Amino acid sequence: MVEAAWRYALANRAMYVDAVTTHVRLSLLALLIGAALCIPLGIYAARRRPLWRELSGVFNALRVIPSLAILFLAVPYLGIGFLPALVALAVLACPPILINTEAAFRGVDSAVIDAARGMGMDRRQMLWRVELPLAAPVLVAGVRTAAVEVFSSATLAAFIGGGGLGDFIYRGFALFEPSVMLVGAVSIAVLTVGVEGLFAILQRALEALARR
Amino acid sequence: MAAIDIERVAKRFAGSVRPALDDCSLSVPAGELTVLLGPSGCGKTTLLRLVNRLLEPDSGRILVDGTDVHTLPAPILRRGIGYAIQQVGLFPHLSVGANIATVPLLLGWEKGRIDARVGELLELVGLAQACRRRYPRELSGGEQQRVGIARALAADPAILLMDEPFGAVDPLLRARLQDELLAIQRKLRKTIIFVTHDVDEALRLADRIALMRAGCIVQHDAPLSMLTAPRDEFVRSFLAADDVLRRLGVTSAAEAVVAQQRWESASLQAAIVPSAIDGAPVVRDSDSLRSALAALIESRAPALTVVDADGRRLGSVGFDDIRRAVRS
Repeated sequence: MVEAAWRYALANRAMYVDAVTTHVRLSLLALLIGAALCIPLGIYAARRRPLWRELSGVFNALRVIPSLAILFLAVPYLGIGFLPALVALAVLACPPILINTEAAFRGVDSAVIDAARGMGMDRRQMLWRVELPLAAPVLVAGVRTAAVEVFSSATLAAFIGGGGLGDFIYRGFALFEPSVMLVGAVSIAVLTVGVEGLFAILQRALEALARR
Repeated sequence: MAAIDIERVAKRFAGSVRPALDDCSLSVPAGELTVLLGPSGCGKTTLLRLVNRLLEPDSGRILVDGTDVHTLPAPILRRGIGYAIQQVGLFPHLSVGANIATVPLLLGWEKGRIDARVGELLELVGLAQACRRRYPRELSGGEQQRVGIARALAADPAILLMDEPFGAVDPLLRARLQDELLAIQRKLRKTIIFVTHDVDEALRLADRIALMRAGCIVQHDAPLSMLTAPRDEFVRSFLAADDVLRRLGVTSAAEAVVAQQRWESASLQAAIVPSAIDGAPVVRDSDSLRSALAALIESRAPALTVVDADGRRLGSVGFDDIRRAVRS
């Protein structure tokens, strides 16, 4: 069966490459949007605890909604295709990034912050020279969690016409051809594990820098 | 050199019934080490943090060399004032050298000047030059505190604010760091405000002590005057002013010579002290009577010789003179 899957992938190479590209592009864009929204929001939340108490409930609730439901919920508003899949995945990426960013910035030693202020760093200098380097490991851990969720959930994009490696699973299921499903499943697994590995390396490097 | 004038400041924190500071005025002379002393919660840290505007007063003002600290943007003001705290707050992701270079970097010094300055400071606080490339985690508590002080002094500020900098180190090391601070202060003559709740530390370091209670300054005086002339019962009991050993600690050997001469002229007789004894212990005039007494007891001699910085003999003092000096 593995051999059959291999042959299928080779025979449909153009389609396979296209699916991988779409999958990666969809996932990375969603992550990027999630990070662009939630990192600043998380930093802001860490400085305003009352705001965070409100927000954290909402985002924790968001986490328990199944990704498939989020995907389908986007359809009535955005139709089908790449865009609704992107929006849904970006929403999916938000909770872990936001929660970790808030925790990362709240976790920076208050004595270090006090010293930085007391020596005359302004807000921006404190953020870039002190807070961000020290918060980076925990922040990146959040992005890593989000990446795993997004890369694996991007499979579902196929159900609303968003493309990606989920197409193979969808097609294999329709054709009753397990080998076709395998092409999608194995690729998604490898891709997800690979991305997680990359973020794990990045996280460890940042940890080494932040706590020497 | 910079004098600090705190004029009638008040501060109340949100949600607190009692004000943290209640109409506080304090004048800190340039080039002196002033200790803010008091029990926890008396407002000493609050008062300190008003000077570099980490806190803002509800009313009153603070002048540095006659200029209101509010005329400068807070970050600019703070770059001109050294700041050292108990938890040190070194940046864990930066090397010791980079930590020390923080304020010079903020001020935009060029690299060569910063490198040279970091070298000077390591030397000043008694750390090896090799420390420069190490990281805060690799240092002992005492070494970290020394780096903290070097960092506070980096841009050669005229004012240094220190908030219980030696509060978290063991007593032996604390005494060493105190000695080092005194040595540095003799060299640099900064205007220092030093917060502590440790009476012995205050008596040891201070040119002047401002004793605080419940947001007010109760007495502002030289250490010896605080002990010999406490303004009220609170001052007397907080300083344990009646403790003779404590008085010995803040009285110099020179005072015993003075006490002896005063007694001689009053009683019109020579003190029964042999004028020069072979093998008598020798102490500096600036040494405390506490250490003089210890030397006297250890040597079994009836008196000891007091000399000045150039080794000139000022006089010989015995047990009676020491007693007279602290019972005035």
